[in-house]
Amino acid sequence: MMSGSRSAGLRQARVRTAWLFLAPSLLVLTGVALWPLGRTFLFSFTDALLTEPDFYSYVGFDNYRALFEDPLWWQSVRNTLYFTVISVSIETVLGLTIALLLNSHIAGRGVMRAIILIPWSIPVVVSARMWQWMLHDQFGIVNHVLKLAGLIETGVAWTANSALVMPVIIAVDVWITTPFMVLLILAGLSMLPRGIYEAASIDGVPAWKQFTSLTLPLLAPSIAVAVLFRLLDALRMFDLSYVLSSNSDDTKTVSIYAREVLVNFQDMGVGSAASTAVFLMIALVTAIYVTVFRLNRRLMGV
Amino acid sequence: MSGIALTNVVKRFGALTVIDKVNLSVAEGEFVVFVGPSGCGKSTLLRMIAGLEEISDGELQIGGERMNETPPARRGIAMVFQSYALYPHMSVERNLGFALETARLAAGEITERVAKVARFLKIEHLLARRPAQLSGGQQQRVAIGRALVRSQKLFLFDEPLSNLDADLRMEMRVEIARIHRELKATTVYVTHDQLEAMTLADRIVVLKDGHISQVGTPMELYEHPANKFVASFIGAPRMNFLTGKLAIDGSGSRLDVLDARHGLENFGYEGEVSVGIRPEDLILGGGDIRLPASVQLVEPLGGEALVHARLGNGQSLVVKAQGKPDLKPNADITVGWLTSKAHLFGADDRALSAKGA
Repeated sequence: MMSGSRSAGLRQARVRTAWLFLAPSLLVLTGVALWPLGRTFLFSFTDALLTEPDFYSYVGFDNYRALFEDPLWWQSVRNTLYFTVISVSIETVLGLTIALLLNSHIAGRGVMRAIILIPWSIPVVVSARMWQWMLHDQFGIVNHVLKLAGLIETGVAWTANSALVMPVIIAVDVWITTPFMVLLILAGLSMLPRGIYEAASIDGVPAWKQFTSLTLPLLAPSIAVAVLFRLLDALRMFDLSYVLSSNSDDTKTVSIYAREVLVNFQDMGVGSAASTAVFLMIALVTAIYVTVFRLNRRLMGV
Repeated sequence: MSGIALTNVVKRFGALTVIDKVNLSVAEGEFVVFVGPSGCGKSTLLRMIAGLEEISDGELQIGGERMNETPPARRGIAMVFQSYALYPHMSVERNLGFALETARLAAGEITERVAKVARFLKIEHLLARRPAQLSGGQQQRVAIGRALVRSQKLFLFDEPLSNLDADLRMEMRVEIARIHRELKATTVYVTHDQLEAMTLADRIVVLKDGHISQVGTPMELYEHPANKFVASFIGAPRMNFLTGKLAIDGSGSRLDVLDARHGLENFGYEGEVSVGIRPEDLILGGGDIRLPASVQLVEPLGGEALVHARLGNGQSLVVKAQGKPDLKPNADITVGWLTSKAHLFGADDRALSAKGA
C-alpha cells in the first residue's frame, strides 16, 4: 500500500514537471497560432470589415455560402491543387534523381552539393523578381537566348500569356525547391545500409532491381516526409504567383484569393471564411496523406 | 569445380599496397581460414575473391577459370557478411528467397528451397519476422541461410561471428562446422580470432601486412610456427618469449637463457635468439632449463590456472598449470621447460631448426 501510494505520488510529481516544461511552448503556441486561428474562425461567421473590426454582427454561414458560390474561389482551389500536384511531382522525381547522382561516387560531388543549395537559399520573392526579369518579353534573357538560337522570332510574353503563366510558375517553383528535395532525400540515402548492396550484387540482383526492391522501399519514409513538407508549402503558395502574375485569375491560389478579399475588398467576414477554408483544405490533405502513408507502411511491413 | 587459385595477387589503393603478391590455392571442398590482426588485408583478400574489390595485379581463378573481370554474381559464390547485411524491410522468408526470386525461379520451388534451408538452420519459426525483430544469433542464421539457399559451391565468410557474444559464437562455430561437414562446399573464412581459426580450419592462412606469413593445418601452425609472428598469434594465452644466446658447442649448440644453460642439437646458428615457450609447456619446478621467478598473480580458471611469474630480469611469463596450485603472490618458484618444446627464432624472427639428424 505504502509503496503504491508513494509511486503514485512520484508519478503525479512527474506529470506536474512535464506540464511545467510544456507550459511555455503551449503558451506561445496559443498566442501565435491558436488565438489567431480562433479569431479567424469567429470572424468567418460575422459581417466585420477590415476598417472597423470591432463593429460586427453574426451572419451564420452567409460568408461560406458567398465563398462557395464564387466561381473564382473554385478556380483558385483548382489552380492551387494543379500547382501542388504538378510541381511536387516534378520536384520529387527530379530531387530523387539528383540525390542519387550526388550520392554516387563522382568527382566534385562535394562542390555540387553546395552549389545545388543556392536556389533554395535565395528568398522566394527575390527569385521570383529575378525570374520575372529573365522572362521579360522585351528585355528578358530567356527570350534573348531563344531569339539568338533562332527558336522564336518575337519575344514570348511568358507571364502574360494565360496558357504559359502556370507552367512558368511551376518551372520557377521547381527551380527554387528541388534543392530542398535533394537535401532531404540525400539525407535518407546516406542512412541506407551499404552492406545490403554488396549482398545483392553477390546474389545476382541487377542494378535496376536493387533500386526498385532495396533503395526505393528503404527510402520511402524519407521521400514521404519530404513530399509532405512540400505539399504543405505548395498548398499555401502565395509569393510566386503574387510576384510573377499578381492579377491573373489563371494562377490565383487560395492564399491569394483570401488576401484579396480581406485586403482589397476589406471584407473580413468572407476573407476569414476563405482563410478557414484554406486551413481546412490543408488539414484535410495532410490527414489523408498521413493516413494513406501509415496504411501503406503497414501493408508493406516497413 | 570450386577450387581457388591466387597467383601473385596484388591490391593497391593509390600508392598504398594492401595485398602484395599473394599466392595461394584452395582445394575443392577445403575449409580455409584467413587469420591475422586488423589491417593485415584478410578481409580485402576475401572481397577480392568475391569480386567486391578489384584485383590490381595478378590472377584469380575459381574452378580453373580466370575470374578477375567476372562480376560477383557470376563467380558462383555465396557470402556471409560481418554486418549480416540482411534486407531490413523484408521478412526472413523474403530475405532468404530474394535471390531466387531475382533468378526467376518458380514460386513453388522458392518456397520449397527456403523451407528446406530454414529447417536445416532451425529458423522455421522466424520466417514471418523482419530482421529488426531477431536477436544477433538469429540474424546470423538468416544471413547464413541466405547464402545456403542459392546452393553455390563456394562460401565466403567475412568475420561472421564478430558481433556475437561468447556463447553464441561457440554455438555458431559448431553450426558452421556442421554446415561444412554436410555440404562439403569450398569455404574461405576470415576471422581475427585464432580460436575460430584453430577449430574450423582444414588449413589456416596467417596474414600480416598484406603478406602470407604461413599456411598450414592448425596443428602445423601450433607446433611448427615458421616465425615469431605466427608463434605469437596462434595459441592462447599467447607464447612467452625470452631473450637467449645460441652458440655452437662442439657438434651441437648451447643455449643460454639468463643464468641457465642447456646443450642442444646443432642449429648452425650463433647469436641472440628469441626463445618461445607456450604457457602450457612451462613447468613449475621442472624442465631442462629452469629459472628462478616470483609469483605475481594467480588466475584460477577452474580445471587449470594461469600463473603470472616475474623473472630475475623483470620479464614476465605466463604459466598454465593444471589444477589449483597453492601459490601466494611473491612466493619464490622455479619455472622451467623441456628444450624440445621450445621454439627458437633468429634475429630475422624466422624459426630456427636443428641441422642434420
